[in-house]
Amino acid sequence: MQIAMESAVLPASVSSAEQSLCSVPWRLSKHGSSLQRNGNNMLAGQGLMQAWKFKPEKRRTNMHVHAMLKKSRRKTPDFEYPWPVKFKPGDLDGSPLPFLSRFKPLPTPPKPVPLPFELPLVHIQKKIQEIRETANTTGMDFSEQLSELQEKYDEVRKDLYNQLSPVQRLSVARHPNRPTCLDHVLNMTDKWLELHGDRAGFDDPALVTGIGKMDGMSFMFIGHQKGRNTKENIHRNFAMPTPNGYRKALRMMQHAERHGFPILTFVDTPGAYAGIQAEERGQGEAIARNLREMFGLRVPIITTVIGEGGSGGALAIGCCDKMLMLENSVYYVASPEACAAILWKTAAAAPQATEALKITAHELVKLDIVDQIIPEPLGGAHSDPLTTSMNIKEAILGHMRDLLKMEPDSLLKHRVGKFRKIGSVREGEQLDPRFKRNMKPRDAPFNESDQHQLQIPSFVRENLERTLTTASTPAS
Amino acid sequence: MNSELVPICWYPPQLNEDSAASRKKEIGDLFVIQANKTNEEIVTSVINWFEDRQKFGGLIGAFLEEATRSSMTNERDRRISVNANKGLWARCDNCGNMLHVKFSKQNRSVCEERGYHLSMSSMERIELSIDPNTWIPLDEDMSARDILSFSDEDSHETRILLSQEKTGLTDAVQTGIGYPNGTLIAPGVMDFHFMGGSMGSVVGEKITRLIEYATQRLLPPVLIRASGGARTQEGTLSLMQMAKISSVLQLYQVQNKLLYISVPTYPTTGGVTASFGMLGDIIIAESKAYIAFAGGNKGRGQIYPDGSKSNNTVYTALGTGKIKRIIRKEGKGGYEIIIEESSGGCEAIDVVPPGPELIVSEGEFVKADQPLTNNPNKKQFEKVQLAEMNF
Repeated sequence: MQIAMESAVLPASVSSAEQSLCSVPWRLSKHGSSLQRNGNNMLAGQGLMQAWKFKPEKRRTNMHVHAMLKKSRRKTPDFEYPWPVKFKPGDLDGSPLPFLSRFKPLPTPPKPVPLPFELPLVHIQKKIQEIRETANTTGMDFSEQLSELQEKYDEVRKDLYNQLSPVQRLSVARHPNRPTCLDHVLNMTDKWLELHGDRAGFDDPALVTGIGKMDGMSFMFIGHQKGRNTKENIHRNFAMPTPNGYRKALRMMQHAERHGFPILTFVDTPGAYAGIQAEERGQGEAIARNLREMFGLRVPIITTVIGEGGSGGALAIGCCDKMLMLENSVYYVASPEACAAILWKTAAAAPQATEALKITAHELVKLDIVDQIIPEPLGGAHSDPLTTSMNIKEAILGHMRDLLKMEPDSLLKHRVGKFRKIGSVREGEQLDPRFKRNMKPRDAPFNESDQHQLQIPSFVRENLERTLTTASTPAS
Repeated sequence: MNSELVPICWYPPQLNEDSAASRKKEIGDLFVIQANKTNEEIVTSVINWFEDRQKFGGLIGAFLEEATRSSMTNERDRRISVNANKGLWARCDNCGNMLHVKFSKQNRSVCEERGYHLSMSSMERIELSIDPNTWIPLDEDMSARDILSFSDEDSHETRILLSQEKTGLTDAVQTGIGYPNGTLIAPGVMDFHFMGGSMGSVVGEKITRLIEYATQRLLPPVLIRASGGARTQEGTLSLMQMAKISSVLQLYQVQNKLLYISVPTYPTTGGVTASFGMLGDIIIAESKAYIAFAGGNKGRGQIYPDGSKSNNTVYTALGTGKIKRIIRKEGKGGYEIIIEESSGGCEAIDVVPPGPELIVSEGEFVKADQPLTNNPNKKQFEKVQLAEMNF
């Protein structure tokens, strides 16, 4: 076969991978099948592809293979099989293989759900509609009143949304129409590919991960995904990840570190899933491991809280260099209902709990936990998802530019330092000894030479020095 | 005069090797004195006992202290205080066996029946494990500050002061360095008595400093945990403590490759399990300790700060049959439901403790395992009560 012998002549369509293979010497057997080469010196998959591309023109064997399709018992088409029967032209552009993703635009636009504090707006809207209807039926001119009412509507809306109380912000954060992580990601990125699986046998729909390209730079996106209607919510488990999700996130973050692209995480969860299966699979351990490993990743990490951030479940992907929050999002250690049930002993005290816990973005900035608040358009994120996504993108890119200038070692130190200073204690003042009666006081004899060191026996010292020398060698 | 006063009990003390069953039958032995007291003294003390039956624990406790004061020369023993309640008999949570405190101390608070480890205060643990004259505590004077100005029924500050007074601890953890059996380690022992062992800024800071100290001096930290989770009154700050401790552990374990041993005890739930608890190179758990992330009571019940639990289990019928009678108990409440079994003709008695409401009435026909009480657990996920232990 001439194509194989002259290795210098290559058809133009051969990709770089195949080019590298062509430099490997290969002989064509008499039977014209290049499938024999699979066992020798080729990568298995590539060999087959070679075989199909460079098919011999003459068949020298008289073997005919007959294959018959087994009659499948399935009468209805297999819904799991995602490839469409006919490819439409729009199917293949945009993000790679969009029909494989479960996240398609909703068939019906979401119903506007008014929140309880938006009642005056609803009234005004009704009045405007009534006047419009009467104007249509009777033909009289109501434009003055209409414009008046419209102005009033805008004013009331601005007033309401500029001074939201924490309870109102919590209800906006939990709004059913609030844009989810994938909404934001698809708005922000030019190209997006979702990746699944935690390499331990499971996948988690509540936590989505993938690689996306923003402004020519690729990032690893990880986020909790809430559903947009009840059916999706059940599939996504209400954005409460199981240990599988956290292990998937960890694997993706290690992948990003290995290949050197930054990590962006989006937090939007009421908490980690707490069912018995999650416990059996080690929910606590998964979160703990995530926490520990995230402080060793040598790439910048930026976390954005786009909805609610529920304690451990949120923190497991939220150990970051910079934390950003949307204006109406919340971050708590225990949901206000749970907190009310424990401390006030009734769940009805939830509003008080919300006020006291200080969970909104503005209060967290004061506590020095959050670095920047991203403003939402008037009316909350659900009224204008595109603007919200663009705001987030701007904020992220601004911070990322600063972080990318830092060296990896100083980046790690900065991350540890950010969390090291959180927390405030009272110390230095002498406490009433009554408060210390159950704490064991100092027993060891005071030695003038070394104040804080005890006498270490020689074998212990040798052991310690050995660990010191092994620790100072570069980590494998 | 070495008077060993073995107090009144319903089960005689564990001096012979009878089995538990035979022990329970012998209810006769009321008062066993091995001392040389006169008869009049015995009579007066018995009368005192009958009169002060309500103050049983305190009285006998006083007797014990007085009687054994001569033998308690060591200050160390005095520090090992009686297990939680003032009585002298502790009940094992696992098998229900009654354990005399003195013998259980010799056994290091391990129940003989099945080896269940009872909870110990942090002081006890340190005393029992660290050799004398080797303990150096770190950060003794750190106490909590009420940053959020949190006030539910009581303000947070007053709660802290009350806990500090009641338990004699400044906060939920004691850290330091010491030599158990000749090896130098850096233990940190958490205590469940102080506000349920909840992890706040102080606990986070103390443990972080302990691990940083251990990194410098190359000591292995051994963290013994008994915690209910993160302290809700300190809000998101206590959440970040989880991250803080894990960050220091990263430097310590991964980059310096040193050893960290974690010992979860009863109970360990919530934020502590989800952060440094499960990151030990070696995790040694106490036998039958309750270790969880959200706990079995998730959404189903709460443990209030004073320790009382809300009772939200669903009680089911034992057998199939018709409910013959429902007796409502006096006092606290609770029900006894007598079911006449349709198959055998015998009666099954279901005891329902106070708390839940019944949904069946007399004369109804119930099947086995049919719920007798209402199910107060809310099933909505939006308002999931990720309760009991916060994480």
